[in-house]
Amino acid sequence: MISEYLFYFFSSLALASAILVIRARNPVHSVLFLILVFCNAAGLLILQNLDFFAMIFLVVYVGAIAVLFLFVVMMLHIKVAEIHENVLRYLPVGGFIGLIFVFEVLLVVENDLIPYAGWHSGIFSLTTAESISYLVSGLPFLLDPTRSFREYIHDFQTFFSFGSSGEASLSVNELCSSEMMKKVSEVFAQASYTEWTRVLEQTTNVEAIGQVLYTYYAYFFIVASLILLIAMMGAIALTLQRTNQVRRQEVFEQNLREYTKTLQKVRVQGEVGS
Amino acid sequence: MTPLFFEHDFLTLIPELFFLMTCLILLGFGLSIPSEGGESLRVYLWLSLFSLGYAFALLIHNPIEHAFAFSQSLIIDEFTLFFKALLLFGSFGTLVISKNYLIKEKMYSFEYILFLLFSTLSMLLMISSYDFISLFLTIEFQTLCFYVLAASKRTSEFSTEAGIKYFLLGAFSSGILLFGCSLIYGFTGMTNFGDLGLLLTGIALPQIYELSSFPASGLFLGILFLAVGFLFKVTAAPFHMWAPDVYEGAPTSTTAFFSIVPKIALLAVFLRVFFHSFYDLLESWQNILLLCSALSMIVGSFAALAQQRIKRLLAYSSIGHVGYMLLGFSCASLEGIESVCIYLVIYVLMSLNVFALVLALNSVNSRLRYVSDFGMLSVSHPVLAFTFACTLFSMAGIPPLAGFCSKFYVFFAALGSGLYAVAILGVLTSVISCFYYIRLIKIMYFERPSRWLTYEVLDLEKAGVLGLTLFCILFFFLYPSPLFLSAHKVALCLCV
Amino acid sequence: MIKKKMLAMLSLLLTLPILGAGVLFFLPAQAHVLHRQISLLISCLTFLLTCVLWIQFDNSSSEFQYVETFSWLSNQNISFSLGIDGISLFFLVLTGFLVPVCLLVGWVSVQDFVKEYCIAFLILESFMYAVFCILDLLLFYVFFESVLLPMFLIIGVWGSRERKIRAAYQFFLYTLIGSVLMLLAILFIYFQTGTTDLQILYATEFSEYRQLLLWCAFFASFAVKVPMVPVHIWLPEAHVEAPTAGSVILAGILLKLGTYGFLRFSIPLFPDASAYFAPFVYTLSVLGIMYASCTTLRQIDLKKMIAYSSVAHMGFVTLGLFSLNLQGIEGSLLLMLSHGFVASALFLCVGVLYDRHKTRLVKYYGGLVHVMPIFSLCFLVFTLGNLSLPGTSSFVGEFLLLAGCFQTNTFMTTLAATGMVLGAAYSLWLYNRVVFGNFKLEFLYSFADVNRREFFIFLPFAFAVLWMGVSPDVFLNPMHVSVATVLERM
Repeated sequence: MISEYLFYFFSSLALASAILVIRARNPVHSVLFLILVFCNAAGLLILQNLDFFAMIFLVVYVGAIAVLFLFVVMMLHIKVAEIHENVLRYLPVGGFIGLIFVFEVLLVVENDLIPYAGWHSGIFSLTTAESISYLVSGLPFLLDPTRSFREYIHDFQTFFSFGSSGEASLSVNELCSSEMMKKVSEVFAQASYTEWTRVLEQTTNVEAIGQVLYTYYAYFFIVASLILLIAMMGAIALTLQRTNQVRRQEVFEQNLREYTKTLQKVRVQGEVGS
Repeated sequence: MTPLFFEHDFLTLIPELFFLMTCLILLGFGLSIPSEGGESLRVYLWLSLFSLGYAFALLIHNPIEHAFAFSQSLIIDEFTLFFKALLLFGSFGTLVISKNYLIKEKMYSFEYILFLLFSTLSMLLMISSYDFISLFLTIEFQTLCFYVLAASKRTSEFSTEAGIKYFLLGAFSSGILLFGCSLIYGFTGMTNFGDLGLLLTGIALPQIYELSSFPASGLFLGILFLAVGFLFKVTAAPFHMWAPDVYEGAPTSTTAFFSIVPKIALLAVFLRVFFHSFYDLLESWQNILLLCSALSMIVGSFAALAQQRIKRLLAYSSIGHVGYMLLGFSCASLEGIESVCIYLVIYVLMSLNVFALVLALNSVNSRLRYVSDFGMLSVSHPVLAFTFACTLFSMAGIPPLAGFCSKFYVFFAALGSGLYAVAILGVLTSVISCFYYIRLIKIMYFERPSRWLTYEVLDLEKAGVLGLTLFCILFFFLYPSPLFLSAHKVALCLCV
Repeated sequence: MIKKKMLAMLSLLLTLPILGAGVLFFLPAQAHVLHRQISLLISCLTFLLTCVLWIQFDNSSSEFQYVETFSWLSNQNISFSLGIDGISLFFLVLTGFLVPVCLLVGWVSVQDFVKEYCIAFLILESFMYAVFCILDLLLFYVFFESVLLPMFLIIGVWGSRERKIRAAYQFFLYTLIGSVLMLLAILFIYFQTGTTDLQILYATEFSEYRQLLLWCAFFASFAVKVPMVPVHIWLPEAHVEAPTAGSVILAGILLKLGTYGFLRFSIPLFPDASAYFAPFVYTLSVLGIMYASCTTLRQIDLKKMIAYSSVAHMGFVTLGLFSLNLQGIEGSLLLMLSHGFVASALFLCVGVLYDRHKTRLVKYYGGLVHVMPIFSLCFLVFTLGNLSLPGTSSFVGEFLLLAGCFQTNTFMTTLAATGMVLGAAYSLWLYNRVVFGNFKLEFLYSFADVNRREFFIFLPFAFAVLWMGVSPDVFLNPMHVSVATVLERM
């Protein structure tokens, strides 16, 4: 319940902040609203049980990128009046393209994407919304790891009452009960089943990412690092001025200098009184 | 997925690893060379050419012929070998012809060459990609290098503007591409091309289609966005807006690189995407590609008629050529893939020739900017004029030059797949584009230039490239079998 | 026996001019005399080679002779197969005959870019030989189109006036647009049958609807080349602007490419469609004859007159071709040959006048018989050839042709025969105005008769015209069997 309200709160605040980023008059206000967008996005991520990503969002986006934006905005004197030119000029074409995008989104959104629409065909088919709410329900687990997973599935059932559309046969809860399992294993005495719900392990987000990022996806990691290298090189290549006016220190030359030879006393034959 | 990571993966990627090491070493070396002077740049350039050459040699002699690397995110087979070899050849040629230009224009920053090398590396990795994440990362890598290359002439506002335009539209198209990839991931749960192909096997058959609600329309949307992102990057119409401006503003050697090399990598990897993963959903992408191919051919032929500047004309002509390659692509048949391979090879040769010519006639005092600057080239540079005439006739698709062979094969593939209307459109636009190619020849042979240009002596590297490519263009017709047979092998490798 | 020893003759024929061009390429650009001599030597050698081909030709066999095959694209079954039969034999001889003439014509009048002139003509010669020898559909198309390239350069570079560029453009683009549709048709045939080898294609049957479509595509290309009336506009422009040698080759060979294509490809491959469209072609041909002849009467430029009269003659040729019987086709073949001689010779005459006086307008000429008698005699012979006087080659051709057409469609033949009257009208009137009467001193005052080089150029033409007129059997004998083979497919 709470998580549902939190979801609505964060997402609406993020949308509002995003619109205000574009519409704010003062560029500094824009950046501040951008920071607000990032914070709300971090909140949404926490709701999804992605703790590591939320923190990384805050550290990287807010801490590095938004701060950099602020630096740039404050260093460059952007005239406020120029920003808001005639926006209505772009309304026909821009509105048309926006409508195309909305139309495409509507193409995609089907019945099974809207939550609480009920079970559809299949026994174990968890549609997208249901899986999202399934994950969301794991939030209380973070607060109290002593409860077993099965109890959370029970909570899941009580939190979101799905109206079954008639053909929902086995619910997840029933399947997880060990009595059912014993009945099943009595019938099929030869086979031994692994109860996956008991075997699941919990790890933290960071551990999970670390376990795959440096092993299975190590190649992506290295390519990403190469992209960062290129970005840094690009910035330097495009902007570094090697002109005479930039004062530099030639450290090795300076160290090689013998200070006894740098200053000399020279006797000058000059006129008296000059 | 093999539990023993990296054991054989590095062996499969030896050319790329070697190339990466040399790029990093060259990066360190570049910091130690003095930045004011052509001599050190020459040394740097020859070193980078050597590294490209060695990478090519390592590629050809790689004992591993078919492998998956890094938990199925990369693939090595004959398809990748062909395209990587073509890519390295194209980069080598471009770097060779750029040498004099860089020194004359006083673009002494070694980072330019280094970005060229890094983008080649990214494209090598792109061709081997077998996963959407790998695809996106290497496309980002490549386009980032290109943004810097486009903006690298610091003394020219044109160049900066070209860089900004490329950056904005490139970032936008990368965003669309990524959105498509994430939609596909969202609706299928996998990013590997092979896994997607297995998942979508037979999905269009009516028996399977009725049983489930899959494939969701989200998947079609994802494929649409993927195709749109790809078409942006390969400068197909109607997403070609950025190409003439960027090609014109960027320094000429960069334009040569843009025009020759990225299309190889992009076409290779997207051939793989669409043929391995989404072949069963053919209707979802064939029509988009056909439409864009038809539009590109029309835009490439009509828009170039009105151009007065040489680089914009070449940009529109390359849009037209991309249209023909997309026509071969959208045939979705074995001959289609073969025609794309053959067209790419001949396109690389012709573009190398044209840009070597444009660079040769470009001197610091009098830049070659307008089409009318070519006037009376037949008197001042008769052999160069003859070379240009041959290349232009080849681009127009006149027999018996090489361009005709590639075009006829594209039309053959199109007719074989039943794309009659687009084939007829293709031949008609081919005739229309012939008009402006011949106008260039007419200007060269029969017209006086509006302003007199001074030319410089042709240097050895450009002469070599011009001679080699002219030889190939003129005499390809006599012995086309090797290219056709290797294209056939490559296409079979992709489809089987 | 002898044939076996000379088995590689066709490839030798094709490569010899290219080798000559290669040799010329390495000579210095100032050695004009050397260029001309070497190119003349090579082209005469190839002419001798074609004569040997003719002598060794077997009149009685219906197969292709001197066949050679080289593989071009092995996995696509496209191979470079060469071979001639009675139809193509004479075009080879004609080409071999005309190219040395072209080089001789430019002996004095072409002073700049002499090396490129000779190289262009040698390469053009090689391409033309290839067009007539090749027995493969796609490669025929390749060489059919590649003939445009040297011709474009010849018209554009050595043409006489500023309008030459526009003429070269028109020539190039008109022919190209028609031909690309033929390319699609060829690719379609290849896709359907899996091969482009002509001998195999002769044995395949296409469905009627497909035949109609493919015939139309082929027609688009050949009709522009012939040229048939609605799309003939490029011909007068190209002829007028081209140098004399260019006009000679254009009239002599390049127009025959279209009709050769009709005979070799359209009629045997698509017999039903040819029969279906024959009335259409008749109409266009007769329109062409009438319109072109009438327009010739209006012209004031000598070259344009002969150009339009070429259109009229080619109208006769297509009329004969689509009569689809033995006399008609043989007559049109003979008319093609004779037109190759007569029209080329007429262009040579005009070239003689142009070299001396630098004008081609009829208004300035008159009474040339007084000062250039030998020229008048030569001009007379060819004018009589143009109007198909009995005794000249054109008469035999036209007579056979009209006899063949009469069997198929009497009305059209009657109309065409009245076209002959128009032909006589314009030819005689032209001759009258230029040669007889008083000469116009206010325009021209210094005259020179034909010199030895020009006379020796005219002599073989006159000889050929008279020979073909008096004893056409020599020319007709090799054709019989080949034409009968073509007609068998109907």
